[in-house]
Amino acid sequence: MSDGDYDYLIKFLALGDSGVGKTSLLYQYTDGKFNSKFITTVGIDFREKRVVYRPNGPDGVGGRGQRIHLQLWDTAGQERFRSLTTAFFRDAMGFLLLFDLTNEQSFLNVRNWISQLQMHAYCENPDIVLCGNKSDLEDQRMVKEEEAKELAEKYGIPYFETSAANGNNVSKAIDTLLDLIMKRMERCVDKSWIPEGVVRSNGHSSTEQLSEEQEKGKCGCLTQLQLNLMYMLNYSTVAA
Amino acid sequence: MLDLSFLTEEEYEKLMKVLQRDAELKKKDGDRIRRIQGSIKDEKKKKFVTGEWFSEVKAKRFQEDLEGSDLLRASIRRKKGKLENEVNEHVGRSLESKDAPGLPFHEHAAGTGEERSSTPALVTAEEHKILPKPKPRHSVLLSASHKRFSIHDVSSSESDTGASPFAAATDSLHLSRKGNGQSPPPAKLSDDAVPQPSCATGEAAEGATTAGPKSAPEEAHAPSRIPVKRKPNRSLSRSEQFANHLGPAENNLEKRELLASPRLLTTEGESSQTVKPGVNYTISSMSNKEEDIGLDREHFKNLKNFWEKGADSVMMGSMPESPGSLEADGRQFKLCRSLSVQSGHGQNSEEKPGAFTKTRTPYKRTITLSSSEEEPSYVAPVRKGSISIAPRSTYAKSKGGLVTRNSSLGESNGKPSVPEEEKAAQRSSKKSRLPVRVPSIKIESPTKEVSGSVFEPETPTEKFIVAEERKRTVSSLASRAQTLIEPALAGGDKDDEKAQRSDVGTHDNMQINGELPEEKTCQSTEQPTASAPAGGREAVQKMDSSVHSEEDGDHSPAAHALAQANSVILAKSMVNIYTTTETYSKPLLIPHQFLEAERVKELSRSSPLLLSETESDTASEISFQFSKHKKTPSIGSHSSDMASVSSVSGSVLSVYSGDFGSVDAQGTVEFALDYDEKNREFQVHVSQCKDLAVVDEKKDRTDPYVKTYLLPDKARMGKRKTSVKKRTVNPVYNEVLRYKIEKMVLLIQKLNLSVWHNDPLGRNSFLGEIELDLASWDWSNRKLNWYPLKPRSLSAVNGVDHRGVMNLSIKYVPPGSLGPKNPPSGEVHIWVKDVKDLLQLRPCGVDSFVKCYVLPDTSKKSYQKTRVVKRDTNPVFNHTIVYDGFHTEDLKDACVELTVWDHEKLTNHFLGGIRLGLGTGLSYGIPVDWMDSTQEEVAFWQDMMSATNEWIEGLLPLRSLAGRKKLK
Repeated sequence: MSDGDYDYLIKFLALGDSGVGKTSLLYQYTDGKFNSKFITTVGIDFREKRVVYRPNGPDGVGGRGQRIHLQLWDTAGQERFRSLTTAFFRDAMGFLLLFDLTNEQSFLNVRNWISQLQMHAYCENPDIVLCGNKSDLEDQRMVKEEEAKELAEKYGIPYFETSAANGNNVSKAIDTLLDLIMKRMERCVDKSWIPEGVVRSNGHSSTEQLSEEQEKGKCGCLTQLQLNLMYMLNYSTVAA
Repeated sequence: MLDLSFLTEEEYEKLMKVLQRDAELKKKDGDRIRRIQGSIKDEKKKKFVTGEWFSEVKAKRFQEDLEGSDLLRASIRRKKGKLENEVNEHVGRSLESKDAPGLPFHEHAAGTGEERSSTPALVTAEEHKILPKPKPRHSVLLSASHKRFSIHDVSSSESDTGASPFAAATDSLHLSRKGNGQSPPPAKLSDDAVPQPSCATGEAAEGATTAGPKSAPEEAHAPSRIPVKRKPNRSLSRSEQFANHLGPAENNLEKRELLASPRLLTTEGESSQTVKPGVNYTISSMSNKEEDIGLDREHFKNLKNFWEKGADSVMMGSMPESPGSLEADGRQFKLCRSLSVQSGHGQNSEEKPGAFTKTRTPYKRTITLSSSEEEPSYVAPVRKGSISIAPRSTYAKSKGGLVTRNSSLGESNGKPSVPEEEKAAQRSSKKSRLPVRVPSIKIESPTKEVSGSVFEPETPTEKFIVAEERKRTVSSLASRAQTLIEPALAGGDKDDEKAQRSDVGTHDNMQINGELPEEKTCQSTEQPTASAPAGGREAVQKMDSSVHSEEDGDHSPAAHALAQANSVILAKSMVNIYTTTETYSKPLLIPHQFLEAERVKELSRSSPLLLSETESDTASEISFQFSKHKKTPSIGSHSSDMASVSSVSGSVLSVYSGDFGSVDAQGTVEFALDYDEKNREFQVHVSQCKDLAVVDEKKDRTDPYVKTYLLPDKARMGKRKTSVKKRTVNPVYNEVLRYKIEKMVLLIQKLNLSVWHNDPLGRNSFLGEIELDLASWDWSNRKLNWYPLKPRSLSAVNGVDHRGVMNLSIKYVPPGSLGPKNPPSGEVHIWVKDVKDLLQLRPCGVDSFVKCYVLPDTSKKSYQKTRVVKRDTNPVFNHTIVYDGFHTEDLKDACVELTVWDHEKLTNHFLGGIRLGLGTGLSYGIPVDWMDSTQEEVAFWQDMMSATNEWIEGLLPLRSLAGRKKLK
């Protein structure tokens, strides 16, 4: 693991209100364990995991899986660490935005987090996966799935209802994010090879994949379109 | 900067651990990228795999901004202050501790150097300072390394005494380059440089291929660099061997240790350095030493021819020249050159000393064009064997950038403008020469036929030329020789020579001019020579190495060993040389050694802690020097003086340009601070003042106004002033002073709010001030508060302002920006124009010169200096330095350090410096103290990064470079 025998180092960052389960979700993902005890994160932390990514897309690089080393940044949700945590936004390639399904305020704050990301991430429309966590506490649910999906569609991001306690959808959410990143990566590089003005979203294949994924994630085609639009905009800005 | 004041100790520690883990991961990833970089040809895939795609996108938005972890690290350092300092210091101290074990060594080394030179006290003081810093913790590891190196160091230490020659040699090489630069126009240099760069790139590439393991993140950045590092390692081993050989030298041992640490550093550092530079900094120095050159013009011609023929030839020459060790040296030389040549040569270099060459490669300084002309001062240094060094420099000068390497050639050539190439040839020749020299210079000639010719006449010079490598090896030899010589010389000038040598060496390196005379003398001495005396002298000189080699040849076994060692040593020797040079100038020298070592360590990345230590050391060293030399005037009383000095700097400095001493600060000021998030504006609500001092008691008049600055970079955001209220000591303003500034940026500033009496006809009088650290400001407090006005603060007095202001231009030429493969690698051009209002530490005036390093590379390759401008507090240098081998990404991790020194025979005194970089606190992912550029400096660097191929002009205040405290 510690050796450099991997192909990509991908950096994700989990954010969201305090207590929504960011640390637990990452812990579940990397170690498959869950600790119900609440231990507040001091500023920032990270976990690592090695995964293999197999592109499903038609133009996939090939059958060989890509060895990915994930660096999963965990951030403190507490306000007092805000300036510290936002400083790390720019270094992450993708974001896991969490809210607590049993805490409506954490859901309402999602838009604030997104605006924070738009300000501090490496670009204005970074790849984000929205996670409604604590789906195992169905009896305490305060946020309806439809609301959350609606919000996710508005931003054109995938949405999953996850449970750090039982691991439900945790891997799927992160895998989806990884897929988004890998697709974007190719587009970013391709873009640089394309004459300016010719914004080609080489990712049609990837888009399909995305849509598949998104459908699974209960995201609509609109999201996909929006995504594409966003990418195009983003790229054109970059090109400019 | 982040405001982390709310964090508890435990939280700090947790964060530090996280950052540490992150740094480790980054290092690993850097290693990975370095490994794969060469194997991936698909540019697209490479971007994927290296994560470059991401950094490119991110750069569009954040440009120079630090990574979050870096920012946090820097913030923690800053905030933690004591605690963190302690931690860092621990690390640093551990580094220091390394030094500490070495302290004695350092001291010894310093002592030797110092003793020779005249200022033991200063040296000791410096040493002490340095010593205190070091802590024992790391010392163990370090010490181990030190020990290994210590042997080497010892040799180097010897070289210091005699050793200084190495350093001097290296310096001289640089100098020689400079010297060359002088004779040839900058353009020439550049031309030379161009070829060199290519070579360098090639080298780098080679290095990359070869490189390997050592490199840390840096390597990742530049594959080529990585290899370089590896080479250094090799050199280290070799150096160790040498050290063993040399081992016997007692005094040297200490020195060795010192050196050793440097060596370690060098090895690591080299690798890192190489990485950073990219880099082959090929510095061709054009010296004005045409005079000197003139002496050796024929030689130069030969050298030139030789060089023209090619570095390869040089390598060849070196091959034949040296038997075993020599060959190694030659190879090394070859490597260096080959580096330029690229892979082919690189392979050669790899074969042996490759490390050296590799190291060199990265460091290669393409060109130093120093408009600076010959300096008489150097001549004095010439006395010693160092003379030979001078020639080298001259050679280098003649040849210009690349040639410079052939410092040995430079020696002979030194005078004319044998380009750096010649120098390079010389170097190679030097290596070969070393062996060859003794036996026959001609043997060497193969590589350097031209040089050979030169050599013939100037056998000694050749020896000197033998090159840096030799110098390195020589250093050990030289040290021996020096030791020998010293006794011998003792009768005559030798004592002086030692000091002089050191001086000379440094000077030579520094100044080509001095070299000529010295060279001549050396040559003469050498020629007659007997290996021992002459060698000693040579050793004394930078040539020492060459001389040593020569001596080696003479003294065959030892010499061979030395020669071999040289090749090995070269890499380390570079460091040693530096150190030695530093030792020469006692104050500076010592620090340099430490610094170098530290730097090297840092470079090595082996241990971040070590790095930090080194940083601290450097800082401490500098600070020591500073304190010693400066004896700064007391804050309050001197303020007026300061003001006068500062007045020079102009608008920026104008802040301090008033009359500070005449009026006692009294009274209070009421104001409030706010940050308008919407408009991203910092607002200072100045309400009123009470009980201000009366400026003109006769007229009972005070016309006060309030002025604000954001420190430390006053110039950047500028000042804000309220209106002037007439004839009142209780003015009411109710004005808002606004700064458009990002909160993040604001938080690393200090608010300096001062009250002044406005005198339209005379000088404004300072009535008092208040300074607030905005990082710890409670931004929820928006109320008006009263603050007592204080006398001019220390920070202001000690601030940047009074040290003078450097006028310079910098330019970045990206690879291929001038045409296909032109330049082959990125080049950073530094045009040091002049310095205004230097501190005058001595009654007789200031004899100043400017040193330049591209950190993290502290090797001689990265080292360049201008001529010495005598007795002028406003010296004009018009010296251009070109470093090639810069990848665009390297600009983010490298730091150009320009320091101004007062040159004295035995010591150099630090006057102030600037560091051009992004000030991130990190270099290739490793925390370093010297990445502490002020905002002004950062802005300057950023301008250069964004406006490529354009000269960016800057007027930057010199400051102290005490690293730790400076970290933002």
